[in-house]
Amino acid sequence: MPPIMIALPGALRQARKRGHAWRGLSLLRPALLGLSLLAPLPAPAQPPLDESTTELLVAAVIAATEVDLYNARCRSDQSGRRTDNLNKLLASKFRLTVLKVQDDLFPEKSYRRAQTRLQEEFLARLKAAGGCPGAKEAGMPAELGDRYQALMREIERLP
Amino acid sequence: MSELTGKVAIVTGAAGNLGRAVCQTLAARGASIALLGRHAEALEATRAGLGESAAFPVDLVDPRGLEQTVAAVRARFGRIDILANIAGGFAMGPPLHQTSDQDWDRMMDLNARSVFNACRAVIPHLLAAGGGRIVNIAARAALKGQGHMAPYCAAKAVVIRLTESLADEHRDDAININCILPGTLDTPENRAAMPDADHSRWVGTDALADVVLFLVSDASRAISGAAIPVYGRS
Repeated sequence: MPPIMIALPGALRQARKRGHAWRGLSLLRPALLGLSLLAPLPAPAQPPLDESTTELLVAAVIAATEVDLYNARCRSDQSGRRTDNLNKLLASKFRLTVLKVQDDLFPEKSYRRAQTRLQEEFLARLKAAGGCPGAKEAGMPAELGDRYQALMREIERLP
Repeated sequence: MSELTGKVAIVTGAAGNLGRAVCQTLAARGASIALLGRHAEALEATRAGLGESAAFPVDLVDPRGLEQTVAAVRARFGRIDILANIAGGFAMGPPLHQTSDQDWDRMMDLNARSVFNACRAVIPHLLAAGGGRIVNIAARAALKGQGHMAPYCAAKAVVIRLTESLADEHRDDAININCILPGTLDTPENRAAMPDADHSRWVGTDALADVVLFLVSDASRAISGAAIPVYGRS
């Protein structure tokens, strides 16, 4: 049993000295079991998301992206804070990231294409509203912020 | 917006050959850069043309000083998203049985303890931010020991295991941690040390900086705990 000799040579030598090699090996079992526990364990599988949760997460990602895009475009705030906060919430609650939601739950199945579409759609909407001044006049910042906050609260309430 | 617009990157060893290339590459993609290193003047010289950036002279082996520096970075930029642990150094030496404690400690401090200290100081901020990226620089020599290089090989091997352990600890925290195993870097110092080598087979610092860029970008979102060989043609 060369691997055991390598792992615990002292214990095996002692067992042999006493003429109880097999008993010695049985004594080693708990130690070997302990060693096997050191091997990486697979992470517990997350249950699949139901349809309403999926819709909620997609809506929240869109809402966070739109607030961040508005702030980047109209307030020179490039922080992406809403997406970061959503990311934190998703990581703690679902072991998910915003990128993963965009990759897996958006119709594009690609975060790059999803982000491109969201950006194009939002910029078209901003333009239609009369640019930053028109959007502000129409109450867009408050509307975007309220929607984002409501969706965040809804996710927080999930079990 | 550029790929890293709004992101804040800490780059250790920022004034070195690779550190400069990493700072320039990340800054060109829109990141704000916190340059960490021992020499204030060299850091300031590296800052030139980087855009939003600040120099933070610090000894990476001093955990208390590093913790305060990272807090200062957070205060200056408001957030931390990326840690690029570029600081490190190479030295050959006598056979192991003649290696002094000082030589051993120097390689370990420069290459391994600096990474440990920086990760320990930065990770709480990444957790608070909801995620982030860490890139460590190990070395090809970390994979197989070589004579007269034991302290260096051992220290770089530590970086790989540290990277794997950290990645495992933070796999559900949206923090990706990877390391790179460069082959011989094409730097003025290496050219001077090995004038007869075929330099075209070495890895350029810009090419290596592009790998760092990939690892801190969204494109690498599915990679964590990896040790990525970047050997050029050497």
